[in-house]
Amino acid sequence: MENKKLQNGIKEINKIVMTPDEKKRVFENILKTGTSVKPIQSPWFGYSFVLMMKQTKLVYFILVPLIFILTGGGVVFASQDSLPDSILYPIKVSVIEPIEGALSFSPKAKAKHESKLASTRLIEAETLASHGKLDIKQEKKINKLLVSHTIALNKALDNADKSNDNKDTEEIATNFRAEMNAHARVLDIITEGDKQTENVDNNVNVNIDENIKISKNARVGAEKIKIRQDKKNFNNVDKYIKRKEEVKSLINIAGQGLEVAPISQTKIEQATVDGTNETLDQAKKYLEEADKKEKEGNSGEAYSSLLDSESSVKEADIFLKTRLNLKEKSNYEKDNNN
Amino acid sequence: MNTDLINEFEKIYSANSDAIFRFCLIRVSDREQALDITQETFLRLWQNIQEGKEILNYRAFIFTIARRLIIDWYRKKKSLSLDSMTTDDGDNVYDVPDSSTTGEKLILGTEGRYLLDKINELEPSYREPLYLRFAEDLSPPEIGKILGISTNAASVRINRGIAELRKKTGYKDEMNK
Repeated sequence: MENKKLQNGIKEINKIVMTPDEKKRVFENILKTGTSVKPIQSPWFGYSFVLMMKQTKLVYFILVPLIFILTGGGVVFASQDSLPDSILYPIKVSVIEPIEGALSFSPKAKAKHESKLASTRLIEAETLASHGKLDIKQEKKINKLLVSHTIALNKALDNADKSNDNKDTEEIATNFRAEMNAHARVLDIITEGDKQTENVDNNVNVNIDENIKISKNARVGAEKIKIRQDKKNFNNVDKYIKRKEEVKSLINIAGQGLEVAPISQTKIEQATVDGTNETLDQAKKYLEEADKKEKEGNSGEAYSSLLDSESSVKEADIFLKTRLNLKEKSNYEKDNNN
Repeated sequence: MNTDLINEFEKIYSANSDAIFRFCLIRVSDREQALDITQETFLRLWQNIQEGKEILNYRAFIFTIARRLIIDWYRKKKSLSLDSMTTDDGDNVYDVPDSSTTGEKLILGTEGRYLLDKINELEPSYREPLYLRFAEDLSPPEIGKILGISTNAASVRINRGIAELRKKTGYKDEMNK
Protein backbone atom coordinates (compact mmCIF):
# COMPACT_ATOMS: atom_id res chain seq x y z
CA MET A 1 0.00 0.00 0.00
CA GLU A 2 2.70 2.43 1.07
CA ASN A 3 4.73 1.44 -1.97
CA LYS A 4 1.78 2.20 -4.14
CA LYS A 5 1.62 5.66 -2.58
CA LEU A 6 5.27 6.16 -3.46
CA GLN A 7 4.63 5.04 -7.02
CA ASN A 8 1.68 7.37 -7.25
CA GLY A 9 3.75 10.22 -5.87
CA ILE A 10 6.44 9.59 -8.47
CA LYS A 11 3.84 9.33 -11.21
CA GLU A 12 2.35 12.64 -10.14
CA ILE A 13 5.74 14.30 -10.09
CA ASN A 14 6.41 12.91 -13.56
CA LYS A 15 3.27 14.58 -14.78
CA ILE A 16 5.08 17.90 -14.54
CA VAL A 17 5.95 18.32 -18.21
CA MET A 18 6.16 21.01 -20.84
CA THR A 19 3.17 21.61 -23.01
CA PRO A 20 3.55 20.62 -26.68
CA ASP A 21 3.67 24.31 -27.60
CA GLU A 22 6.38 25.04 -25.07
CA LYS A 23 8.34 22.05 -26.26
CA LYS A 24 8.11 23.14 -29.86
CA ARG A 25 8.96 26.76 -29.07
CA VAL A 26 12.03 25.83 -27.02
CA PHE A 27 13.24 23.42 -29.70
CA GLU A 28 12.85 26.00 -32.45
CA ASN A 29 14.59 28.64 -30.37
CA ILE A 30 17.53 26.34 -29.83
CA LEU A 31 17.93 25.56 -33.52
CA LYS A 32 17.49 29.22 -34.41
CA THR A 33 20.07 30.62 -32.00
CA GLY A 34 22.28 27.57 -31.61
CA THR A 35 24.71 28.43 -34.39
CA SER A 36 24.87 32.17 -33.86
CA VAL A 37 25.42 32.20 -30.10
CA LYS A 38 29.07 32.55 -29.32
CA PRO A 39 30.77 33.02 -25.99
CA ILE A 40 31.04 36.71 -25.15
CA GLN A 41 34.63 37.76 -25.70
CA SER A 42 36.31 39.57 -22.86
CA PRO A 43 36.97 43.25 -23.62
CA TRP A 44 40.49 42.65 -22.26
CA PHE A 45 41.11 39.82 -24.74
CA GLY A 46 43.35 41.94 -26.95
CA TYR A 47 45.52 42.83 -23.99
CA SER A 48 45.99 39.30 -22.73
CA PHE A 49 49.21 37.92 -24.14
CA VAL A 50 48.80 34.57 -22.43
CA LEU A 51 45.33 34.14 -23.84
CA MET A 52 46.46 35.16 -27.29
CA MET A 53 49.32 32.69 -27.15
CA LYS A 54 46.88 29.99 -26.13
CA GLN A 55 44.59 30.90 -28.99
CA THR A 56 47.12 30.99 -31.78
CA LYS A 57 50.72 30.07 -32.35
CA LEU A 58 51.00 33.00 -34.74
CA VAL A 59 51.84 35.08 -31.70
CA TYR A 60 55.11 33.17 -31.35
CA PHE A 61 56.04 34.12 -34.89
CA ILE A 62 55.39 37.77 -34.08
CA LEU A 63 56.69 37.83 -30.54
CA VAL A 64 60.06 36.18 -31.12
CA PRO A 65 61.17 38.47 -33.98
CA LEU A 66 59.80 41.42 -32.01
CA ILE A 67 62.02 40.53 -29.04
CA PHE A 68 64.98 40.25 -31.40
CA ILE A 69 64.18 43.57 -33.01
CA LEU A 70 63.72 45.36 -29.69
CA THR A 71 66.84 43.83 -28.16
CA GLY A 72 68.81 44.42 -31.34
CA GLY A 73 67.39 47.93 -31.57
CA GLY A 74 68.61 48.65 -28.07
CA VAL A 75 72.10 47.41 -28.89
CA VAL A 76 72.14 49.40 -32.13
CA PHE A 77 71.02 52.53 -30.30
CA ALA A 78 73.58 52.03 -27.54
CA SER A 79 76.37 51.44 -30.03
CA GLN A 80 75.79 54.71 -31.91
CA ASP A 81 77.89 56.76 -29.51
CA SER A 82 80.40 54.03 -28.73
CA LEU A 83 84.13 54.64 -28.90
CA PRO A 84 86.82 52.26 -30.19
CA ASP A 85 87.45 50.96 -26.67
CA SER A 86 83.81 49.90 -26.28
CA ILE A 87 82.57 46.36 -26.91
CA LEU A 88 79.73 47.83 -28.99
CA TYR A 89 82.13 49.60 -31.35
CA PRO A 90 82.44 46.64 -33.78
CA ILE A 91 78.64 46.70 -34.17
CA LYS A 92 78.79 50.37 -35.03
CA VAL A 93 81.58 50.14 -37.62
CA SER A 94 80.85 46.67 -39.00
CA VAL A 95 77.06 46.63 -39.04
CA ILE A 96 75.37 50.02 -38.69
CA GLU A 97 77.69 52.18 -40.77
CA PRO A 98 77.92 49.69 -43.69
CA ILE A 99 74.11 49.45 -43.67
CA GLU A 100 73.86 53.24 -43.78
CA GLY A 101 76.39 53.20 -46.62
CA ALA A 102 74.40 50.59 -48.49
CA LEU A 103 71.38 52.87 -48.24
CA SER A 104 73.31 55.69 -49.92
CA PHE A 105 72.51 54.88 -53.51
CA SER A 106 74.12 57.65 -55.55
CA PRO A 107 77.94 57.99 -55.74
CA LYS A 108 77.59 61.53 -54.37
CA ALA A 109 75.61 60.35 -51.33
CA LYS A 110 78.17 57.59 -50.81
CA ALA A 111 81.01 60.15 -50.95
CA LYS A 112 79.24 62.31 -48.36
CA HIS A 113 78.73 59.29 -46.16
CA GLU A 114 82.39 58.24 -46.32
CA SER A 115 83.54 61.80 -45.66
CA LYS A 116 81.31 61.97 -42.60
CA LEU A 117 82.63 58.62 -41.33
CA ALA A 118 86.22 59.79 -41.70
CA SER A 119 85.43 62.90 -39.62
CA THR A 120 83.70 60.73 -37.04
CA ARG A 121 86.84 58.58 -36.72
CA LEU A 122 88.90 61.66 -35.99
CA ILE A 123 86.39 62.96 -33.44
CA GLU A 124 86.50 59.53 -31.76
CA ALA A 125 90.27 59.75 -31.66
CA GLU A 126 90.03 63.26 -30.13
CA THR A 127 87.62 62.03 -27.47
CA LEU A 128 89.83 59.08 -26.59
CA ALA A 129 92.93 61.29 -26.55
CA SER A 130 91.27 63.86 -24.28
CA HIS A 131 90.57 61.04 -21.80
CA GLY A 132 94.10 59.65 -22.18
CA LYS A 133 92.81 56.42 -23.67
CA LEU A 134 94.27 56.68 -27.16
CA ASP A 135 96.79 53.83 -27.03
CA ILE A 136 98.55 52.16 -29.95
CA LYS A 137 95.84 49.53 -30.28
CA GLN A 138 93.04 52.10 -30.63
CA GLU A 139 95.19 54.24 -32.91
CA LYS A 140 95.75 51.32 -35.27
CA LYS A 141 92.08 50.52 -35.25
CA ILE A 142 91.10 54.10 -36.13
CA ASN A 143 93.87 54.42 -38.73
CA LYS A 144 92.69 51.30 -40.49
CA LEU A 145 89.16 52.62 -40.70
CA LEU A 146 90.33 56.07 -41.76
CA VAL A 147 92.29 54.54 -44.63
CA SER A 148 89.29 52.56 -45.81
CA HIS A 149 87.01 55.63 -45.63
CA THR A 150 89.47 57.74 -47.64
CA ILE A 151 89.80 55.05 -50.31
CA ALA A 152 86.01 54.66 -50.45
CA LEU A 153 85.58 58.43 -50.74
CA ASN A 154 88.02 58.60 -53.64
CA LYS A 155 86.23 55.79 -55.38
CA ALA A 156 82.83 57.40 -54.83
CA LEU A 157 84.09 60.74 -56.21
CA ASP A 158 85.46 58.95 -59.27
CA ASN A 159 82.11 57.24 -59.79
CA ALA A 160 80.30 60.55 -59.39
CA ASP A 161 82.53 62.12 -62.08
CA LYS A 162 81.92 59.17 -64.40
CA SER A 163 78.17 59.37 -63.98
CA ASN A 164 78.20 63.17 -64.44
CA ASP A 165 76.63 63.48 -60.99
CA ASN A 166 79.38 65.89 -59.93
CA LYS A 167 77.48 69.05 -59.09
CA ASP A 168 78.54 69.22 -55.42
CA THR A 169 81.51 66.86 -55.46
CA GLU A 170 83.96 69.76 -55.18
CA GLU A 171 82.25 70.92 -52.04
CA ILE A 172 82.34 67.40 -50.59
CA ALA A 173 86.05 67.21 -51.41
CA THR A 174 86.91 70.63 -49.90
CA ASN A 175 84.83 69.86 -46.81
CA PHE A 176 86.70 66.58 -46.40
CA ARG A 177 90.07 68.33 -46.71
CA ALA A 178 89.01 70.95 -44.18
CA GLU A 179 87.70 68.37 -41.71
CA MET A 180 90.77 66.19 -41.98
CA ASN A 181 93.24 69.04 -41.58
CA ALA A 182 91.33 70.72 -38.77
CA HIS A 183 90.83 67.56 -36.71
CA ALA A 184 94.40 66.48 -37.34
CA ARG A 185 95.58 69.74 -35.79
CA VAL A 186 93.18 69.40 -32.86
CA LEU A 187 94.39 65.87 -32.29
CA ASP A 188 97.97 67.04 -32.35
CA ILE A 189 97.20 69.76 -29.82
CA ILE A 190 95.39 67.36 -27.50
CA THR A 191 98.10 64.73 -27.66
CA GLU A 192 100.65 67.54 -27.20
CA GLY A 193 102.44 66.32 -30.20
CA ASP A 194 104.39 68.25 -32.62
CA LYS A 195 102.33 71.29 -33.49
CA GLN A 196 104.27 71.90 -36.60
CA THR A 197 102.27 70.63 -39.48
CA GLU A 198 104.29 68.18 -41.39
CA ASN A 199 104.83 68.74 -45.04
CA VAL A 200 103.18 66.02 -46.90
CA ASP A 201 104.65 64.71 -50.07
CA ASN A 202 102.64 65.98 -52.97
CA ASN A 203 103.22 62.78 -54.86
CA VAL A 204 100.03 61.38 -56.39
CA ASN A 205 100.96 57.84 -55.45
CA VAL A 206 101.19 58.67 -51.78
CA ASN A 207 100.52 55.64 -49.59
CA ILE A 208 98.56 55.81 -46.36
CA ASP A 209 100.17 53.77 -43.64
CA GLU A 210 98.09 52.15 -40.90
CA ASN A 211 100.92 52.36 -38.43
CA ILE A 212 101.63 56.09 -38.58
CA LYS A 213 99.89 58.75 -36.43
CA ILE A 214 96.19 59.34 -37.05
CA SER A 215 96.72 63.07 -37.61
CA LYS A 216 99.31 62.38 -40.27
CA ASN A 217 97.07 59.87 -41.94
CA ALA A 218 94.24 62.41 -41.95
CA ARG A 219 96.47 64.98 -43.65
CA VAL A 220 97.63 62.42 -46.17
CA GLY A 221 93.99 61.67 -46.95
CA ALA A 222 93.22 65.39 -47.35
CA GLU A 223 96.22 65.82 -49.63
CA LYS A 224 95.17 62.90 -51.75
CA ILE A 225 91.81 64.55 -52.33
CA LYS A 226 93.54 67.88 -53.10
CA ILE A 227 95.72 66.24 -55.75
CA ARG A 228 92.62 64.71 -57.23
CA GLN A 229 90.96 68.14 -57.40
CA ASP A 230 94.08 69.78 -58.95
CA LYS A 231 94.15 67.23 -61.73
CA LYS A 232 90.73 68.22 -62.96
CA ASN A 233 90.58 70.64 -65.89
CA PHE A 234 88.74 73.89 -65.28
CA ASN A 235 87.76 76.60 -67.72
CA ASN A 236 84.47 78.02 -66.46
CA VAL A 237 84.99 81.71 -65.63
CA ASP A 238 81.47 82.33 -64.31
CA LYS A 239 81.77 79.45 -61.90
CA TYR A 240 85.14 80.80 -60.72
CA ILE A 241 83.71 84.26 -59.99
CA LYS A 242 80.72 82.88 -58.15
CA ARG A 243 82.87 80.62 -56.02
CA LYS A 244 85.33 83.37 -55.30
CA GLU A 245 82.55 85.51 -53.83
CA GLU A 246 81.44 82.62 -51.67
CA VAL A 247 84.98 82.10 -50.37
CA LYS A 248 85.35 85.80 -49.59
CA SER A 249 82.11 85.69 -47.66
CA LEU A 250 83.29 82.62 -45.73
CA ILE A 251 86.56 84.39 -44.84
CA ASN A 252 84.65 87.40 -43.52
CA ILE A 253 82.32 85.24 -41.41
CA ALA A 254 85.24 83.25 -39.97
CA GLY A 255 87.07 86.51 -39.14
CA GLN A 256 84.03 87.90 -37.34
CA GLY A 257 83.63 84.64 -35.42
CA LEU A 258 87.20 84.89 -34.26
CA GLU A 259 86.71 88.45 -33.04
CA VAL A 260 83.73 87.58 -30.85
CA ALA A 261 85.23 84.34 -29.53
CA PRO A 262 85.77 84.19 -25.73
CA ILE A 263 89.19 84.90 -24.29
CA SER A 264 91.46 81.86 -24.13
CA GLN A 265 92.13 80.54 -20.67
CA THR A 266 94.13 77.40 -21.27
CA LYS A 267 97.11 76.47 -23.35
CA ILE A 268 95.02 74.28 -25.61
CA GLU A 269 92.49 77.05 -26.22
CA GLN A 270 95.26 79.50 -27.07
CA ALA A 271 96.82 76.98 -29.44
CA THR A 272 93.48 76.58 -31.17
CA VAL A 273 93.03 80.33 -31.59
CA ASP A 274 96.53 80.62 -33.00
CA GLY A 275 95.77 77.76 -35.37
CA THR A 276 92.56 79.45 -36.50
CA ASN A 277 94.33 82.72 -37.20
CA GLU A 278 97.10 80.93 -39.03
CA THR A 279 94.68 78.97 -41.20
CA LEU A 280 92.60 82.03 -41.93
CA ASP A 281 95.72 83.89 -43.07
CA GLN A 282 96.53 80.91 -45.24
CA ALA A 283 93.05 81.09 -46.79
CA LYS A 284 93.53 84.78 -47.60
CA LYS A 285 96.92 84.04 -49.10
CA TYR A 286 95.45 81.31 -51.34
CA LEU A 287 92.74 83.74 -52.44
CA GLU A 288 95.32 86.33 -53.42
CA GLU A 289 97.21 83.64 -55.34
CA ALA A 290 94.03 82.68 -57.13
CA ASP A 291 93.43 86.31 -58.14
CA LYS A 292 96.96 86.61 -59.41
CA LYS A 293 96.78 83.42 -61.48
CA GLU A 294 93.40 84.39 -62.82
CA LYS A 295 94.80 87.72 -64.04
CA GLU A 296 97.64 85.79 -65.69
CA GLY A 297 95.02 83.84 -67.56
CA ASN A 298 95.77 80.58 -65.85
CA SER A 299 92.21 79.76 -64.87
CA GLY A 300 92.91 76.12 -63.99
CA GLU A 301 95.53 76.96 -61.38
CA ALA A 302 93.48 79.92 -60.17
CA TYR A 303 90.53 77.66 -59.47
CA SER A 304 92.79 75.20 -57.70
CA SER A 305 94.08 77.97 -55.41
CA LEU A 306 90.51 79.10 -54.83
CA LEU A 307 89.61 75.58 -53.64
CA ASP A 308 92.67 75.62 -51.37
CA SER A 309 91.42 78.90 -49.93
CA GLU A 310 87.93 77.49 -49.42
CA SER A 311 89.32 74.41 -47.73
CA SER A 312 91.49 76.57 -45.45
CA VAL A 313 88.69 78.88 -44.39
CA LYS A 314 86.48 75.90 -43.60
CA GLU A 315 89.35 74.38 -41.68
CA ALA A 316 89.65 77.62 -39.68
CA ASP A 317 85.93 77.52 -38.92
CA ILE A 318 86.10 73.91 -37.69
CA PHE A 319 89.13 74.77 -35.65
CA LEU A 320 87.35 77.67 -34.00
CA LYS A 321 84.30 75.57 -33.21
CA THR A 322 86.52 72.92 -31.69
CA ARG A 323 88.07 75.59 -29.52
CA LEU A 324 84.65 76.68 -28.29
CA ASN A 325 83.71 73.07 -27.62
CA LEU A 326 86.89 72.57 -25.64
CA LYS A 327 86.14 75.71 -23.64
CA GLU A 328 82.61 74.55 -22.84
CA LYS A 329 83.94 71.15 -21.88
CA SER A 330 86.58 72.60 -19.62
CA ASN A 331 83.97 74.85 -17.91
CA TYR A 332 81.72 71.85 -17.40
CA GLU A 333 84.55 69.85 -15.86
CA LYS A 334 85.41 72.78 -13.63
CA ASP A 335 81.81 73.03 -12.44
CA ASN A 336 81.75 69.33 -11.74
CA ASN A 337 84.96 69.47 -9.76
CA ASN A 338 83.61 72.36 -7.67
CA MET B 1 22.57 22.62 -41.30
CA ASN B 2 23.44 18.95 -40.86
CA THR B 3 20.18 16.96 -40.84
CA ASP B 4 21.73 13.97 -39.10
CA LEU B 5 22.84 16.15 -36.22
CA ILE B 6 19.41 17.74 -35.95
CA ASN B 7 17.78 14.33 -35.90
CA GLU B 8 20.16 13.11 -33.24
CA PHE B 9 19.55 16.23 -31.16
CA GLU B 10 15.79 16.03 -31.60
CA LYS B 11 15.86 12.46 -30.35
CA ILE B 12 17.73 13.46 -27.20
CA TYR B 13 15.51 16.50 -26.74
CA SER B 14 12.30 14.50 -27.00
CA ALA B 15 13.50 11.90 -24.55
CA ASN B 16 14.86 14.27 -21.90
CA SER B 17 13.27 17.71 -22.19
CA ASP B 18 10.43 16.94 -19.78
CA ALA B 19 12.80 15.52 -17.19
CA ILE B 20 15.05 18.57 -17.39
CA PHE B 21 12.11 20.95 -17.30
CA ARG B 22 10.70 19.13 -14.25
CA PHE B 23 14.09 19.17 -12.54
CA CYS B 24 14.32 22.91 -13.16
CA LEU B 25 10.73 23.76 -12.25
CA ILE B 26 10.91 21.96 -8.92
CA ARG B 27 14.08 23.89 -8.10
CA VAL B 28 13.20 27.39 -9.29
CA SER B 29 9.40 27.40 -8.78
CA ASP B 30 8.88 29.55 -11.84
CA ARG B 31 7.59 28.03 -15.04
CA GLU B 32 9.06 30.64 -17.41
CA GLN B 33 12.36 30.55 -15.62
CA ALA B 34 12.34 26.74 -15.77
CA LEU B 35 11.66 26.94 -19.51
CA ASP B 36 14.54 29.38 -19.93
CA ILE B 37 16.95 27.14 -18.08
CA THR B 38 15.74 24.12 -20.03
CA GLN B 39 16.28 25.96 -23.28
CA GLU B 40 19.75 27.09 -22.22
CA THR B 41 20.62 23.53 -21.18
CA PHE B 42 19.69 22.04 -24.51
CA LEU B 43 21.26 24.95 -26.37
CA ARG B 44 24.61 24.08 -24.82
CA LEU B 45 24.11 20.45 -25.67
CA TRP B 46 23.29 21.44 -29.27
CA GLN B 47 26.42 23.59 -29.51
CA ASN B 48 28.54 20.74 -28.20
CA ILE B 49 27.04 18.37 -30.72
CA GLN B 50 27.69 20.87 -33.54
CA GLU B 51 31.29 21.29 -32.48
CA GLY B 52 31.66 17.53 -32.69
CA LYS B 53 32.52 17.07 -29.04
CA GLU B 54 32.21 13.53 -27.77
CA ILE B 55 29.55 13.13 -25.10
CA LEU B 56 29.48 9.69 -23.49
CA ASN B 57 26.31 10.05 -21.47
CA TYR B 58 23.81 12.62 -22.70
CA ARG B 59 21.49 12.33 -19.71
CA ALA B 60 24.26 12.91 -17.20
CA PHE B 61 25.60 15.76 -19.36
CA ILE B 62 22.34 17.70 -19.61
CA PHE B 63 21.45 17.18 -15.95
CA THR B 64 24.89 18.48 -15.00
CA ILE B 65 24.40 21.58 -17.15
CA ALA B 66 20.90 22.15 -15.82
CA ARG B 67 22.09 21.81 -12.23
CA ARG B 68 24.87 24.37 -12.78
CA LEU B 69 22.53 26.78 -14.51
CA ILE B 70 20.13 26.54 -11.58
CA ILE B 71 22.99 27.28 -9.18
CA ASP B 72 23.92 30.28 -11.33
CA TRP B 73 20.34 31.45 -11.29
CA TYR B 74 20.26 31.25 -7.50
CA ARG B 75 23.51 33.16 -7.29
CA LYS B 76 22.06 35.92 -9.40
CA LYS B 77 18.87 35.93 -7.44
CA LYS B 78 20.85 35.96 -4.17
CA SER B 79 17.93 34.51 -2.33
CA LEU B 80 20.30 31.93 -0.92
CA SER B 81 23.85 32.24 0.24
CA LEU B 82 26.50 30.88 -2.05
CA ASP B 83 27.76 28.50 0.60
CA SER B 84 24.45 26.84 1.08
CA MET B 85 24.34 25.91 -2.61
CA THR B 86 27.86 24.76 -3.23
CA THR B 87 28.94 22.98 -0.06
CA ASP B 88 29.64 19.27 -0.30
CA ASP B 89 26.55 18.41 1.64
CA GLY B 90 24.60 20.11 -1.16
CA ASP B 91 22.08 22.24 0.62
CA ASN B 92 19.74 22.16 -2.35
CA VAL B 93 16.24 23.35 -2.04
CA TYR B 94 13.32 21.57 -3.64
CA ASP B 95 10.33 23.81 -3.96
CA VAL B 96 6.95 22.61 -4.88
CA PRO B 97 5.72 25.11 -7.45
CA ASP B 98 3.03 27.23 -6.01
CA SER B 99 0.35 28.05 -8.52
CA SER B 100 -0.72 31.07 -6.51
CA THR B 101 2.69 32.73 -6.92
CA THR B 102 3.58 31.49 -10.37
CA GLY B 103 0.14 32.09 -11.73
CA GLU B 104 -0.06 28.70 -13.35
CA LYS B 105 -2.12 25.61 -12.92
CA LEU B 106 0.29 22.84 -11.95
CA ILE B 107 -0.86 19.30 -12.37
CA LEU B 108 0.43 17.89 -9.10
CA GLY B 109 -1.66 15.68 -6.87
CA THR B 110 -1.49 15.35 -3.14
CA GLU B 111 0.78 12.33 -3.19
CA GLY B 112 3.25 13.97 -5.49
CA ARG B 113 3.25 17.15 -3.44
CA TYR B 114 3.62 15.10 -0.24
CA LEU B 115 6.55 13.15 -1.64
CA LEU B 116 8.35 16.33 -2.70
CA ASP B 117 7.70 17.89 0.69
CA LYS B 118 9.21 14.89 2.42
CA ILE B 119 12.23 14.85 0.10
CA ASN B 120 12.71 18.53 0.90
CA GLU B 121 12.76 17.71 4.57
CA LEU B 122 15.69 15.33 4.11
CA GLU B 123 19.28 16.20 4.84
CA PRO B 124 20.57 18.43 2.00
CA SER B 125 23.07 15.85 0.73
CA TYR B 126 20.31 13.23 0.25
CA ARG B 127 17.75 15.39 -1.55
CA GLU B 128 19.23 15.51 -5.03
CA PRO B 129 20.44 11.90 -5.25
CA LEU B 130 17.08 10.63 -4.08
CA TYR B 131 15.09 12.85 -6.41
CA LEU B 132 17.23 11.89 -9.41
CA ARG B 133 17.00 8.21 -8.49
CA PHE B 134 13.25 7.99 -7.97
CA ALA B 135 11.75 10.78 -10.03
CA GLU B 136 14.11 10.65 -13.00
CA ASP B 137 15.22 7.05 -12.75
CA LEU B 138 18.90 7.85 -13.10
CA SER B 139 21.52 5.23 -12.19
CA PRO B 140 24.02 5.79 -9.33
CA PRO B 141 26.93 6.26 -11.81
CA GLU B 142 24.91 8.96 -13.63
CA ILE B 143 23.99 10.65 -10.35
CA GLY B 144 27.65 10.51 -9.32
CA LYS B 145 28.66 12.30 -12.53
CA ILE B 146 25.97 14.96 -12.17
CA LEU B 147 26.84 15.72 -8.57
CA GLY B 148 30.57 15.40 -9.10
CA ILE B 149 30.96 12.55 -6.64
CA SER B 150 31.93 8.88 -7.00
CA THR B 151 29.39 6.17 -7.87
CA ASN B 152 29.94 4.66 -4.45
CA ALA B 153 29.25 7.95 -2.69
CA ALA B 154 26.12 8.43 -4.81
CA SER B 155 24.88 4.91 -3.84
CA VAL B 156 25.56 5.58 -0.16
CA ARG B 157 23.63 8.86 -0.27
CA ILE B 158 20.71 7.23 -2.07
CA ASN B 159 20.49 4.40 0.49
CA ARG B 160 20.75 6.69 3.46
CA GLY B 161 18.22 9.00 1.89
CA ILE B 162 15.82 6.10 1.40
CA ALA B 163 16.21 5.12 5.02
CA GLU B 164 15.41 8.67 6.13
CA LEU B 165 12.50 8.98 3.73
CA ARG B 166 11.05 5.72 5.08
CA LYS B 167 11.06 7.14 8.54
CA LYS B 168 9.42 10.36 7.41
CA THR B 169 6.80 8.86 5.07
CA GLY B 170 6.21 5.40 6.44
CA TYR B 171 6.84 3.94 2.95
CA LYS B 172 8.43 0.68 3.87
CA ASP B 173 8.20 -1.93 1.16
CA GLU B 174 10.31 -2.21 -1.94
CA MET B 175 11.82 1.24 -1.85
CA ASN B 176 15.19 -0.23 -2.71
CA LYS B 177 14.53 -0.66 -6.39
